[in-house]
Amino acid sequence: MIELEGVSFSYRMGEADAVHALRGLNLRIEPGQSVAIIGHNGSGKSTLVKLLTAVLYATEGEIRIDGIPVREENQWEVRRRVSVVFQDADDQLVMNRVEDDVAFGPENLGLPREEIAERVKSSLEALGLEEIGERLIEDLSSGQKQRVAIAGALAMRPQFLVLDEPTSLLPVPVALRLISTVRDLKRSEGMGVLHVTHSMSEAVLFDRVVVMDAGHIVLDGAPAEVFRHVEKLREVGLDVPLAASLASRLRARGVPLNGDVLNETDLRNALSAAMEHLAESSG
Amino acid sequence: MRSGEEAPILELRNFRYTYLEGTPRASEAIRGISFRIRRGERVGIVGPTQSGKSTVVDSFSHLLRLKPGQVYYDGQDVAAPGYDRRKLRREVGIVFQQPDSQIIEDVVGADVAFGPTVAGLPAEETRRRVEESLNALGLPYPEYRLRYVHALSGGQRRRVAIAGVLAMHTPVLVLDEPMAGLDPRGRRELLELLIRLQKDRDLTLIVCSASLSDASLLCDRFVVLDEGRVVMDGPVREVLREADWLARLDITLPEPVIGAREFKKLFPDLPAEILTEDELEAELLKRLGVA
Repeated sequence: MIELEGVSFSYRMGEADAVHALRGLNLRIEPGQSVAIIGHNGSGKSTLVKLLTAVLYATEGEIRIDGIPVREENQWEVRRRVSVVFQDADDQLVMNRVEDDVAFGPENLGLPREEIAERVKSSLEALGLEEIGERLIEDLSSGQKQRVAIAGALAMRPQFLVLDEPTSLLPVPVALRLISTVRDLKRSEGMGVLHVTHSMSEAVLFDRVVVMDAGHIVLDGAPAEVFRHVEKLREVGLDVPLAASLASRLRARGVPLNGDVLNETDLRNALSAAMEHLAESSG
Repeated sequence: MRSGEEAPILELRNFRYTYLEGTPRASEAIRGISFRIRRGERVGIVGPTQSGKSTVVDSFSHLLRLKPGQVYYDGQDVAAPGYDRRKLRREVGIVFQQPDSQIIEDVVGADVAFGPTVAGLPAEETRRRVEESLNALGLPYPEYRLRYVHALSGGQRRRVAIAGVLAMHTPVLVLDEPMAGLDPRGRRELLELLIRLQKDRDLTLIVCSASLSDASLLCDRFVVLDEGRVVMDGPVREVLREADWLARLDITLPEPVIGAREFKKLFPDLPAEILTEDELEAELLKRLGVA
């Protein structure tokens, strides 16, 4: 479990130009939960990732991972439980061949060779990379590289996988395939996933969506609940999924759309029902 | 091709390119591409990753070892013996995807001044251009000129990189994935800024992207690349009319186009080439009989 109690963080603490990135955050993430964290640049989401991975430490309040307080003396204990994947896979991949890169983390844990081989094999399979384990990383596409980075994080067998905008440089179809793979992963491994993103079409794929603005959590709930707040989301500089936004505009024009609308298929179904309703009431 | 009265500013004639040619790791990136870009045109060179977009961009300012007879700027073969490549780079400004790959100085003002200084402009003219470029990008000169580049956000660093290119007063501006990694607000702001800049300076704008969503709002024409070939070339709406075909490529389609494809199952006569949410709303209301 991840627990944050009254967590604040300021850059250049105590100086005149201090930046208060997080302001008294309370958050609880259960084991195995999948959470999308969204917010515009500067909302505090990247600072949150740095605090969860013991790169920075809270200036106020406390974070516990599995009951272990995130402090400098516990940094290795924390990082063993939380693996992070960055925006640009090139910042993270260290070896030449795919398999060697995935093995890099477990090797540094000093695990027995058979255990390393087993972890590499299962991580590659989980990301659909079993065919390209022997390839050179430089020959891969950006989507494949990001998969290798995730396989490497997975091989650490973390309790939480933290994805820090890993899809923001990928075309949408590639990003959606990647995030669907990640979501199915956590279902089979019982591992929690925190996905930091700007993409609403990705956020709707998660169990829970946390919206951040100016170092605060402004919305937190199931995707259907969160995306009902079209105006609030716009106010904090975010887009709403087109289908959700269109549904709210059509409702305002008197089109009777029932149920939650999160994607184009939901809206088509709601439109189809509304047409029957309109036909009945006019006939 | 379009009306041929004026010579194109850029032209590719059956351009081919192979990386590491003649080695066992040779890879053919471009397999014979031809197109012309007119002065003042706004063109999106779009396609999935590894379709050849970046190689095409690199060819525009002769960053590759080019063979003669393939790439022309203002009617001249840029690979002809004796062609002045430095002059070409003063004509074609390129903003690469990673701003950090072209930011050289620590301080914003110094970085934007780098190009004009190296080009040998007088100090006073350089200062004027730095001020003008930073202001044009929404980074007010007095406030930003002494800021450290590394302390800026990703979106601000991208603007510094664009300001550096803008300060060179090149008639052609090439942007490689200008919106990648920006949040929705940053995207909207940069988009508005680029549209205004292009108009004010009558720039020839070339946007290279895997996102037809961003490019559709900046460009009038799409050249679609796939596996090193041009697979479509035409006005944005005409290209988007082929949404079903485009959906097979790993590219980002505009959200209204994705919506229209889905709602076509309900309204078969819905047009595919819808660029904005407003248009899509209007088309749906029309078909629902709600005035």
